[in-house]
Amino acid sequence: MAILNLSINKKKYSVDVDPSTPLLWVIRDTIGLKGTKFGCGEGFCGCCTVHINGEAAFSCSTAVKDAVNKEITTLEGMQEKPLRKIIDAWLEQEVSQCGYCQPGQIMSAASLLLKNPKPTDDQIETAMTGNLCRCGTYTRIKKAIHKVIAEGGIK
Amino acid sequence: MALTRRDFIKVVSVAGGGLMLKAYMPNFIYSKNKKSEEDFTPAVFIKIDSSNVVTLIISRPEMGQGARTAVAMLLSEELEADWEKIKLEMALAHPDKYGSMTAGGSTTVRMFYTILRKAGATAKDMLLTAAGKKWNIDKSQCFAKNGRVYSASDKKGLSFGELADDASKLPVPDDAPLKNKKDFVLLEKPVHRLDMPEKLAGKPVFGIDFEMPEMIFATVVHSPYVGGKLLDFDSSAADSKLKIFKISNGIAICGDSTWKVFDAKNKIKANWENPEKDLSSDVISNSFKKLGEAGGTLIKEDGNFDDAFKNNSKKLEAEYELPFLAHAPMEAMNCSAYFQNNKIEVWAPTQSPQPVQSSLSQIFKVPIENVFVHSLFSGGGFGRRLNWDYPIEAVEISAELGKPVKVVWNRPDDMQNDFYRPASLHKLAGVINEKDELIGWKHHVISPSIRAQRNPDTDMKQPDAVDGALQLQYVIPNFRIDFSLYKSAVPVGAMRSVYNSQTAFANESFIDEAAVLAGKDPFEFRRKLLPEDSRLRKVLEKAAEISNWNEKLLSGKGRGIACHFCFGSYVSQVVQVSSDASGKIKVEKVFAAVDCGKYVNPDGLRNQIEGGIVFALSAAMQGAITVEGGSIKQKNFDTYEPLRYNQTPEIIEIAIIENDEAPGGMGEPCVPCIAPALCNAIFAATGNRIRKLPVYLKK
Ligand code: FES
Ligand code: FES
Repeated sequence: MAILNLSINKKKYSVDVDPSTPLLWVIRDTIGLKGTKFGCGEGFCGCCTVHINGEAAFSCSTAVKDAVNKEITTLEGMQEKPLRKIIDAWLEQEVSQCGYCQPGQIMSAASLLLKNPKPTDDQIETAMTGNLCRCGTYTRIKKAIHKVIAEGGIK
Repeated sequence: MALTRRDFIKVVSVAGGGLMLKAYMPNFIYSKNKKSEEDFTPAVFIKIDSSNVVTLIISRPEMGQGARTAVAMLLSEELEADWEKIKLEMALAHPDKYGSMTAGGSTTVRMFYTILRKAGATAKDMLLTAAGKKWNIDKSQCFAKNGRVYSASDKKGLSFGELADDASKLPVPDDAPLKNKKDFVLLEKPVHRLDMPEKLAGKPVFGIDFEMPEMIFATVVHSPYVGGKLLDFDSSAADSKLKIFKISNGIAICGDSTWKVFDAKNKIKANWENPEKDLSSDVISNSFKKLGEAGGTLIKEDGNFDDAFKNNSKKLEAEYELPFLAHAPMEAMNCSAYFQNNKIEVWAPTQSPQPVQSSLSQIFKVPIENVFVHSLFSGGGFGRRLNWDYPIEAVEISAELGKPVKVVWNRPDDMQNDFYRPASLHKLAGVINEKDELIGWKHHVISPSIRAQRNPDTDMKQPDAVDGALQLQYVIPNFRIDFSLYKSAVPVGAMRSVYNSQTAFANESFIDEAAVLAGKDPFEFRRKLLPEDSRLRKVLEKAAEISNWNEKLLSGKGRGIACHFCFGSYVSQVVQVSSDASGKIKVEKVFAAVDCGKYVNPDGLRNQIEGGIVFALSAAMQGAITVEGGSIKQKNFDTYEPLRYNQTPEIIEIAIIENDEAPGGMGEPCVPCIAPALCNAIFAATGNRIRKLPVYLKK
């Protein structure tokens, strides 16, 4: 166990955990932010996607010690405008079915759009292919991303 | 006792005032034909309190199918409630208060369509009468809108809340009129899902998010072998602060975080008995073949298939085989429980709260009224959460610790401890006469039976596993269904569309092969076999129309069609594929025509269809659970991989047939046609007929 300092959604947290604990479980169990989901635990599904210094990362496969002193963003950090525009597009296009994978989908899409406000379809495909949706909502995810792009992005 | 219509809706008095109605409906799930008092169960509760909040107590869990929004729409449409102020309350499990609470079989909208509208209309009628009395006018001069009642002269009106007390003292009308379709403001309009804002805000609403004070985190090590019992184990390498002990289903690991208990799994050495050590997918396949050769039990015969087969020269035979499939919802199995003082409380993402309640009551010998089952949102279900294995574990662990616990499975546990969609073999034979008409059809289903696995006394003269084979819609004079039971050691269960995903693959592949032998266009051949007024024929024609069936495709491309009836709905789908020089197949487009009768939320309907297509393509293209040495081989999404974003076909075009028929299901009916339509398309593009799933398309 060790005391580690984390910055999540611009808030500082100090946690006492085993440094090899996956960031996912620190976020969910220790800090109590439940928007980041557990899907596979091994980097295959993207449910656990967060941003670390703006880059989309699988929090299930990132040791918490590697996220120290970096800026972590989770779904809960996407709730204010302009970032929120992506969630609004998701709601408006009624993307979700069960909604369980969507936090991860949103974080992957957001990381892409923050770096590249006008991605091509191929770039979108590359960014989104790591996120599984068992309910099969990919067509709508694509539409929602296009809507955000058309409306000027999330910056 | 004869029932009058009035018995369907009653006023319930509530503490604190307001109007509460309880609506009954025929308990058709349990008793089909009788009409006695017990055949009606109260299924719907609505409450209008004096602060003007309309509460609908909903009994069906939400796993992503949009049930909550649909039921709220049905009620609100007739009640003229303020849509923003409708509150949905998930009912606690109760053995008979709500009728069946199970979310499965695409039944929610089908069962609640009429009763919810009637309940809403009745409540509105009573509110109008109450307002009329206040204003000394007839109720016909009053109208309701957005949660208020107005009269022509009263522009301010009164809120439902202000009228609720008075309304509750009125007799319940038995003839409250339902609205005309043309006046709908919610029904048949795209309405946003009520559960989405909180889900996308990251609120802790899913089962796995549940927490309570003092809660212990737990997981379970399950047998790596099908049906294997724990012999002994050594946990000395694991963190000594964890509590590790044997439970009926394996080894429980308990600690203060999910990760600690997950991590400890690898540090436990356990010996398990392997009762099926010689079992493998090949062995199962061979058993299917043997059963197929031995011939099955005759389930149904029209005409005389054997004679037709003997007396005609054009005939065909083919075998189709399908693998086990895992449900693999994105949210792995989990359940929270607290067992104390002869009282059990569980918080479960479940599709079937009542069986959870009754099995917990039986197993732990707690009176049923002391078992409280809260249904939480599920991150997908697809049939997996119809089972109650995981709540039992949670209660067992809580009983041992005397503390509340949350049990979470990791992905390998979830994938290796499923109740799988059965693997099956289908032997078909057909006869074509000299006019190139299909006059003989025999379908021999060789499959495990979900029902028989649960209850070995099940009558196998009416097997569940022929569902979808038996109801073939084509008119064929000599028609025969046979069945052979394969006693599966691998646990089986219902998965989205249940047996229809298997039987429709066989039916719709075989009819395609028959069309080829008859030298006919696969669409025309099917159409001719369907009666002119058949609803299936209409969707078949529609699918051909929207996919431009008659337009020629470039070489290397092909289209396949399929149609099927199940869960009260008619579906036809066309898949278009292309194959390149290297033989790589790509699914380009999918078209769907759907007749589900009256529907509630057209956008929700489309979403179910789109999702069903992707779900079914995942299975057809790359889904297989295999067995080796008595173990399930697949552990995670690397080896059992649902379709990804980059594999999703470009265009999904959907046509919905508008009519006034009784509402049918949609969660399931959009699944069965995809696999045969895909394989028929591959045949059209390449000449290669695929009779064994999955197709394993090259990536
Ligand atoms: S939970 Fe992290 S990738 Fe699946
Ligand atoms: S919406 Fe259910 S898994 Fe994606």
